[in-house]
Amino acid sequence: MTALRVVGASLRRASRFEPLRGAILAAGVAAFVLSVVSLAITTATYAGWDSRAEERAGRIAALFPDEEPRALWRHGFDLVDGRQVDVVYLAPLVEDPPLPPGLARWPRAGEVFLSPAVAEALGVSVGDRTRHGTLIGLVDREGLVEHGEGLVYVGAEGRLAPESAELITGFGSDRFEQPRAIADRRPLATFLGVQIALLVVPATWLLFTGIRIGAVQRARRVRIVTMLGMRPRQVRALLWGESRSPWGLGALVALLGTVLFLVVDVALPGASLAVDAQDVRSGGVLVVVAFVAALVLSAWACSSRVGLKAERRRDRPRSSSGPSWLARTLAVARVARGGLSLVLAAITVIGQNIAVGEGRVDLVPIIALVGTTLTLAALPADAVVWIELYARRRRAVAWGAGDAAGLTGAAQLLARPRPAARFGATAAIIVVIVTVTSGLLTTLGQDAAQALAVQRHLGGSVATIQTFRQAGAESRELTLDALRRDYVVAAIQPDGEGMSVVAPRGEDVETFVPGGRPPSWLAYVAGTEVGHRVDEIEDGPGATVLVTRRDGTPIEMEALRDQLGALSVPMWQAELPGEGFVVGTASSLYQMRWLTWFGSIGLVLTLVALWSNYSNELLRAVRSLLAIQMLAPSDAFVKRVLAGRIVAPVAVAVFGGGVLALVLSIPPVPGETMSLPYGIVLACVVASFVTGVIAWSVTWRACVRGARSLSLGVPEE
Amino acid sequence: MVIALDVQGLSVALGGRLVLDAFDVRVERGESVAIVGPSGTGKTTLLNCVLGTVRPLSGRALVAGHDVTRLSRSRLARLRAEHLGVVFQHGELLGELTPVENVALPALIVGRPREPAVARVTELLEAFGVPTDREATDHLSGGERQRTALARALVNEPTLVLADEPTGSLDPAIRDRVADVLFDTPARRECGLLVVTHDPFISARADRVVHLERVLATDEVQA
Repeated sequence: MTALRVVGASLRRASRFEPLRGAILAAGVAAFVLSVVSLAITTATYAGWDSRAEERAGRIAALFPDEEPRALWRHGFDLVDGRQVDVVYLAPLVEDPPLPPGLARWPRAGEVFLSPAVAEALGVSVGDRTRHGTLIGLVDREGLVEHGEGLVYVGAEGRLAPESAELITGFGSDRFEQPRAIADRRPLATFLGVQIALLVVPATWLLFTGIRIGAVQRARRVRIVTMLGMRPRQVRALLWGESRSPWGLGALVALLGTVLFLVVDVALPGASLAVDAQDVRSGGVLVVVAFVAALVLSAWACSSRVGLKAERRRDRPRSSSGPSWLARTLAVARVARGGLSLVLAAITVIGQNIAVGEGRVDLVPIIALVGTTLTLAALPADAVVWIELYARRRRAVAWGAGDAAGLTGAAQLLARPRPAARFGATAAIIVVIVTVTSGLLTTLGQDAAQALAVQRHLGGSVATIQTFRQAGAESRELTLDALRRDYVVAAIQPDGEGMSVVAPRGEDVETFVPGGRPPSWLAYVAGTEVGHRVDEIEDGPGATVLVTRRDGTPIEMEALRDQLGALSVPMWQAELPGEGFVVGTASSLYQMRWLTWFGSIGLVLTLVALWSNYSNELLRAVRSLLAIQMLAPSDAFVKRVLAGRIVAPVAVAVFGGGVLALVLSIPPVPGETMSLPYGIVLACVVASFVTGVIAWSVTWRACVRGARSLSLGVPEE
Repeated sequence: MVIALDVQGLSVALGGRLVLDAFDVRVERGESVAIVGPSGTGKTTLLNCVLGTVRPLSGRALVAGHDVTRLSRSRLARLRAEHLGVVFQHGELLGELTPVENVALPALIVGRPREPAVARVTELLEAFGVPTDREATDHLSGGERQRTALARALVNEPTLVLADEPTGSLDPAIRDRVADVLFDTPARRECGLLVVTHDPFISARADRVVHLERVLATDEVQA
């Protein structure tokens, strides 16, 4: 077996394209192993977070009747530097109240403890005054769920009323689910699911892409040695020898990355997400198991025949042997098939409009999600059709004009449209996702901006509140009940022309401007003038919650913020362009930068895998051009052929993606502006085209240079 | 008689090994010369030198009076387009194109107008018995592909045609047809033909045969 591995290694070194394959394979192994290890790290980190959260949770007296209540405890939120932080208000009931973990002493009235992250964000040090009080110390590490956490302890003795706070007997409880300020703290299953989708899947693809480079020649060798009588184990040893060195390099990189997480605290910059090395070490067994399992899996993949399965020439044009009418019908059907994604996008938009018209605004996000997903699923196959149509037309035009390079590029594209379509479809999908997301943000931002505009228009007697759907109806009701002590709670509902205050039992109804309809899962409090009193009403689905003080006095935003509990209050003084993005919705999305990070990493891995895959295709294309390239006085011929195979299909696919994105960006509610999505689409089209040109420039240099060294003789792999 | 190819004192080393040592050969227009010899004696290397893809240690190779060993890349490409035609062992046709498109490519690359180029292409393919419909070249038989490759080599009316094992992958019946067309070309098209082959049947069809021995010996046999 050793001899076979050595033979395999020799074969690898003899291959002209080994540096390319080796680099990609090493990157694939490293990415795959690290992505699997990241699942274990996440699990260990969550366990550490949950453990510290339990140690910090107040022991609610009602749940522990045998224990004496010793303090008042209330949890709230605040916005610091655009980020939500936990605020815990404490008031003692006894001489020696229980000390929360991480605090040096009990905070007296007017004193606060800040977590290091909050202190740094506010730029304050011990002794400085903050909005909540005088800073007397920082929360120690053991008092923080994660070291980048935003946490404030406020000494609220004399300010905290028993009816607005919880009686606690101490700290350390697993029986009370306290709300979390950090909105990106999704359930573990959700987080792992996102990691698998955004990291593990692209990393696996990159691994198999590296395995497949040069697969044709390697598969030929396997066939030959198999015919010579080599047994499967021996073949595996041979294949392992071909991949052992790059696999080893990738494994080493993965090992270094894993050790890093075990030794050093790692924080994603810009995202409220940090991995504590202590937590990772606590879950060391799981991390090691994941590491070893991923190594074994990657080694098996490198030494198996799975990656050598020959591609079927599905794209080769077939001679028509049936009746001409059948060929014509199939051709028409094929062209029509290219419009499937557009039809799905149109159905999505129409469905959303129907849902709004029927008053089922709650269905809009569901229709949007399902419809967009189906549209994206149909996009790659449609891209093949678009590219074939383009290539067919381009070929005819090039031949008519005597354009040899255009003819060759178009003919090769027509013969094998799928590799080009794959790349173009990926770029188009990115365009659609970015545009639809930006459209969603625009819509959300406009709702929030509308609320702010109403608030300003109506003066300081109102407050704008956003509730999180994730908080749940029960949480919203608890909060609204708390509000009703001091505030009149009404509702605003859309009435087709704008929004009306809905008051039961015959109260006056007032119409507000500007118009617009908030999504059902967002509730904004926008105002009416002081003195317009309404009785308490139900907060129905799709309604906006309206609040005004019962005593008719202007609302103090800070006091209202303190009372809101699970709700967040937008900063009324926001003056930024597109200020809706600052308010509420943007705040919660800001918390999800971890998603942006993972998505970006996954995107990079996907693009590298895609390009590696495509590079294989391009190398074969350049090899086939050798005979013609010899006649060309410069590299211009090959460059133009490659341009036809890369830039043009990418442009075609991205253009199609842009059209889809425009369709999907049509808002379900008429009257909302669309300027931002159009601008985003244009930017994406330009960016994708430029990316294609850059990629082509890089690829042709490598391919053309490689082709120059080719000469007569047996064809290279 | 115009000299199509004049190789003088050509020495080539590959991978540290001397493959050709002071080799001489001359091919005139209207003449066919076969280069034969065991594997590793430099037959394909000789063709690569004449094509300009391999630089010799010493000596020169004159094609239609131009020394290909000293030309720049752009001039070399122009020389290939105007004076050289190559028939590769494996055809090296673009399977996605039709035979007409494949043969027309060299003419289009050097900037010839499409209509006259297509007319010449059609004439060549019909003379060689290759179908000129819209079928992709991949669908042709082996013999048809090699004849298409020969037509491509002749489309620009070269001074010299190089053929590297042109019948190496063909069965005997098809080989004969291709050989008929190939060796008819010098006289009919007034060009020189230099063929590298293992096949004694093919080499016997040439006007002259040059034997390459490993490293040094060169024997000439008059047909």
